[in-house]
Amino acid sequence: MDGLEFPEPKALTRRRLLQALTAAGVAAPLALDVMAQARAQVSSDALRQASALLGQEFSAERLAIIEKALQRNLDQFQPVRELVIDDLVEPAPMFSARTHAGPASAPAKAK
Amino acid sequence: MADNELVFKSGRELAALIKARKLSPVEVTEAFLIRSEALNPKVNAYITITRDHAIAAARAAEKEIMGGNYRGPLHGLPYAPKDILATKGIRTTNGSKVTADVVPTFESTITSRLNAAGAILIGKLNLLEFAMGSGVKSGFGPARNPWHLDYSPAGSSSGSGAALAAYMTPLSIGTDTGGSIRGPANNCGIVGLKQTYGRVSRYGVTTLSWTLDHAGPMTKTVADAAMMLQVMAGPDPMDPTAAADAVPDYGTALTAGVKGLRIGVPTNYFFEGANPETEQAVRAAIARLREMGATVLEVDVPYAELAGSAGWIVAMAEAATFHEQRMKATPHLFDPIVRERLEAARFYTATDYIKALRVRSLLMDSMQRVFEKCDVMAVPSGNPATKLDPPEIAGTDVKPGSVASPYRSGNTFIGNMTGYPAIVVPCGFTTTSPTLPLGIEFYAKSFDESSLFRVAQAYEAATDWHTRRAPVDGGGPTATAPRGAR
Repeated sequence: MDGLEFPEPKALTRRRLLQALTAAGVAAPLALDVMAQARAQVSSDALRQASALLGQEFSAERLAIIEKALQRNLDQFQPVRELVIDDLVEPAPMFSARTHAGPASAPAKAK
Repeated sequence: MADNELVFKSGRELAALIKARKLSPVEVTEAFLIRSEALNPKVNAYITITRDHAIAAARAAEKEIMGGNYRGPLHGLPYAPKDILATKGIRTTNGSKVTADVVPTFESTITSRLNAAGAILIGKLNLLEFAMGSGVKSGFGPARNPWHLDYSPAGSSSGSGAALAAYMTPLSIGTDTGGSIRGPANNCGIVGLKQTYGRVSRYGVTTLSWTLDHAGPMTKTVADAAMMLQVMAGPDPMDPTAAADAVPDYGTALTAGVKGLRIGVPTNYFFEGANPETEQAVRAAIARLREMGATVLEVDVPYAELAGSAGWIVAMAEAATFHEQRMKATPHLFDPIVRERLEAARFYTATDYIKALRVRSLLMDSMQRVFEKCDVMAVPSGNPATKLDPPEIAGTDVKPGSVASPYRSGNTFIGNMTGYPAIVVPCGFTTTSPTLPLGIEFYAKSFDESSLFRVAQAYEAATDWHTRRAPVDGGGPTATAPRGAR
């Protein structure tokens, strides 16, 4: 699914914020600190507690990896979360009205 | 005809020779097998080459054709699908150690239809693991870009793009959940079609995302893509999302020309991430189409900047659900970047997912309005290929020194989020070393693949980009004509 390397010009990415801060004369390392303070950070402890809701345990090593990945995801999702959508707009799952679960005997697509 | 010349012919050219009995399916198949076996050690496009199966099928096709039973233009033509399409009795790995030894007991609808049309499967092509891996740490190593072996062919249909650019197959199938057909088409200088969601059955294609996945043709020419779609398209009782819509004769679109065709060019988002060389090439292509009689007008696509972010939420949330049991059973066998992405997605919220689906509604409305004004929309398909990630950073999205977001291309993702069809064709090459292809992407309204074939074929016929040969045989790039439009 990967491969194309366009930036998201209009998204409020960490990169854009970093660029804005550094353009304002804030040194890059300091700018990163400012960004971290400006947004609630995901922590391993928080993820460990959330894991209980998922019914799955992750090792400390995995939680450290997930923490960094998830923080990047959440930065990316922020414009979606912040978008105000009219109440009349319903979700579009892309399935047609003919959708059903498929034949009961259908084999699994991947083992 | 020497084998090394034969592989440079398009599928349609080979089909005409086979139909006229000037060329045997066995000769064609053998030529592509020999080339694939010779080049695969350095390109790594194939995971499996099915020599014995292919030769047997080619002999059967030869016998049928000589007996007067010609099935149609795919009869006797070799093809190779991405190794994410189930092939009965033939290993289907998904590019992963997790499913490295799976031999399906069923056939995907796409390969079933191609086989029934007489096409000959010559192998299964490399990919990013489960269509979302690093391409470097996946189960079978990276496919390499024939234009420069240190560069990425993009993904996830990496082997399909690489095999076509290296003339290791005349026809291929890729899958596209956020740009996985169109990215390799852009990076490898070939044709990639992501048709309308529902136009082609997904039965037997391993899921990444139920609502975003598409499987479509990847070829060297536009006519070959039309030829393949003609066979692949149509309803399928095994896939409830496969549309009942009639499949038109795509051949007529190939000769329609662009006179009077309305081409929309977005004023927002789509060109903002393009580097100068990409933008110049795409705008030159649009200008060329205008000279040929098309009408060019500006369009606005509201919310396009959210397509990548919202698409990522949908794709990863669905993927994490699909792979839930495998992740519990054998997490250590996954490409580290796939594991990282799927584990992170376990923590996405239901409201994020539903919000992303509401963004999808907004995007569908945006695209519907665009196509009230124009017949096709032209955008850059991506920037040129970049080097393959070194292994030490390939296994994570959190790359040292990078604060960039993990998914950055709404230019392609909007097609998956809305289901609207899109085609990528080459529109130039970089002028700096190494010489790498540039691509243009055309969108059309739902189920109007004919307009895509119409504009893409007209542009291809007016230019020579698709005739350039990647320097994978040794030496420099082989140009058959001076750079530029004919």
